[in-house]
Amino acid sequence: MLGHIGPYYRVKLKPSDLISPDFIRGYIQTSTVVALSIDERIDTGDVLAIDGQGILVLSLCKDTYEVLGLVGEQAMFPLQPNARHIVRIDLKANTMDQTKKHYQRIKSRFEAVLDREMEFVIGRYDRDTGKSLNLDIPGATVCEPAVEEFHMRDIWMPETSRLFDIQAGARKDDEWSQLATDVFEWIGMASSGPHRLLSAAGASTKIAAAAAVVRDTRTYSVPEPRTRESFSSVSVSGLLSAGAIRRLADELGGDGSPNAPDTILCVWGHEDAPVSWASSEHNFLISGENMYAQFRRPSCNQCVIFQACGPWDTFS
Amino acid sequence: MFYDLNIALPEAAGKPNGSMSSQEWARVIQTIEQARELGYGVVALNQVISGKLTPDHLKIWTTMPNMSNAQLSWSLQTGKRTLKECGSVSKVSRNSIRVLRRVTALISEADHGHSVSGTATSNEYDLVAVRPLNEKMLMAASGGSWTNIDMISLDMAARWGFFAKHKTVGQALSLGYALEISYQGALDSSTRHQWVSNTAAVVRVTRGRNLVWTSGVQRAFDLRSPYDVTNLGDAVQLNKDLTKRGVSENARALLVHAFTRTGTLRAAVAVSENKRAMKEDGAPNKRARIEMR
Repeated sequence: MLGHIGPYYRVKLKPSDLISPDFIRGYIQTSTVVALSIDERIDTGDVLAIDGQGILVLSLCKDTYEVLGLVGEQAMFPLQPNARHIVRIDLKANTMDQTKKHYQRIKSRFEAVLDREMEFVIGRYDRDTGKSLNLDIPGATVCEPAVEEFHMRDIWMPETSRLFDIQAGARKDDEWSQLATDVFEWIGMASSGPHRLLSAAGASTKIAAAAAVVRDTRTYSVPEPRTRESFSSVSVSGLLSAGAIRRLADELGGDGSPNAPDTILCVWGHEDAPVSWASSEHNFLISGENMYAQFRRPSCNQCVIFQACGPWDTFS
Repeated sequence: MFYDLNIALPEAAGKPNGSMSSQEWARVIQTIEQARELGYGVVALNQVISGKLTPDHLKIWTTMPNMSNAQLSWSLQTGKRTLKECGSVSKVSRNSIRVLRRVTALISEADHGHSVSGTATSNEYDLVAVRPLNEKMLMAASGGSWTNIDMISLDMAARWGFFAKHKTVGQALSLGYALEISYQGALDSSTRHQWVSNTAAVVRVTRGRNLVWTSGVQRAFDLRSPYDVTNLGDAVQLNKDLTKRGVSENARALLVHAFTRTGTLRAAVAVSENKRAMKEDGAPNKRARIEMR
């Protein structure tokens, strides 16, 4: 199932390398490129990203923007006016041809102001399949996404039949909302690792003894009504393309058979990325979460989605 | 960038010809390093003086040991200020921290305020703050009696004996002064209630504008991360955005204001070194232009 998830790259580049004709012709125009600078935090420094649509997004603090001299728009976050600016450069546009004045202006400003090397994580993916492609940049380190899996049996889980006992678009009552919150809280605990669920289980002597070994403080207990379930968890961390995640979601859904097991897909965006879902602006107040979790039940052909975006995210 | 513009030096450092032992300087350096670990990019060492500011107060700064991964705003040999460009205030190399000098004058009489306002000695400091000890001095400071100061600091953990009034504080804000909130008083359970009361009063009269949040601590253990400070604002009914400004944008604006005070002529003209003015061999380039800002 994870065979199509391939490597990404860590490399130190100058921002002017991202707008070089070779990079644009060789990678931006032929494939999907996603990149994010990881040197600095979004609320304290300058962050650069390529959003996968060929747009280079620069989230710049006041000092850098004023010296850079490129046209951008005032960022919505922080709320103070002119504290931060976003500059978007369409790398696929005709004006980014190296003979055009627009390109030369951008290049000269990048070389004059953004002249230090920044560390990037970059992924290059096939546009149709989302498969990872090679990136030939000197000094690039190949990184494989980290995969962890665990299996658990007879673990308490909130009862979920009522969760899907609702029509799409129907008004949700408080009881349903509380149930959904309990379920997704459990999903968060499960995604944190088996030790969290071991300490919460208390279902049998063996599990309680294991919890004592783990020495985890039991602050969470599975709410009633609850059932005993078994599940397998696979965690993939690294830079993944949207196409790869979409393909993973499709494979989790199986062949559409009503007898297929329930699946849960959780996706987290990077907390320091300048763009969030649907190219929304993203920043970091005291947290930068931008995640969603999908709970699919093929037997009733329904899916419940929980979305969480931090306060400084225009998608929320 | 996050700023902590008040890392307190011991009391002995505030006396003319004061001295600090090597252990005390080691503790200060440890606090600076802890601030860097917590994510602060710029810190200011605060020398609290009572009485008049004299050139003898500057001697302590040459006794600081060398520190790796720190960019000091003064020379350890001469004690003179080396920060020449406004942009350098907030430009910090990665894995480094900028250390500034700050003086806070305890003002009980008007004479004390004049000694920190616009003198050659006070211009050696990157930040000049006053701490009025009574309401009359607070009104004098807020009214602009001493023009060359940057910040008004009040002891949040102490009982003031007067109320912070909209009119008084509003005057200070209109003159571009910042008001400091040090969270050190919140760390001690015996002063916490007074800290909350005073801070809430300041937040109410300022409506969260021009507030700069600082630590005011001496020990590394007492430092808090910028995000913890952001959460602390909830205790005094200040929303997180405004509190976070107090450790970021407002502090930066304060440093720009301070630089304007010392590095420019009437905030209109600044003369900076033009590297193009010199040829490679050091001879002056006759085609150099003076940059006007």
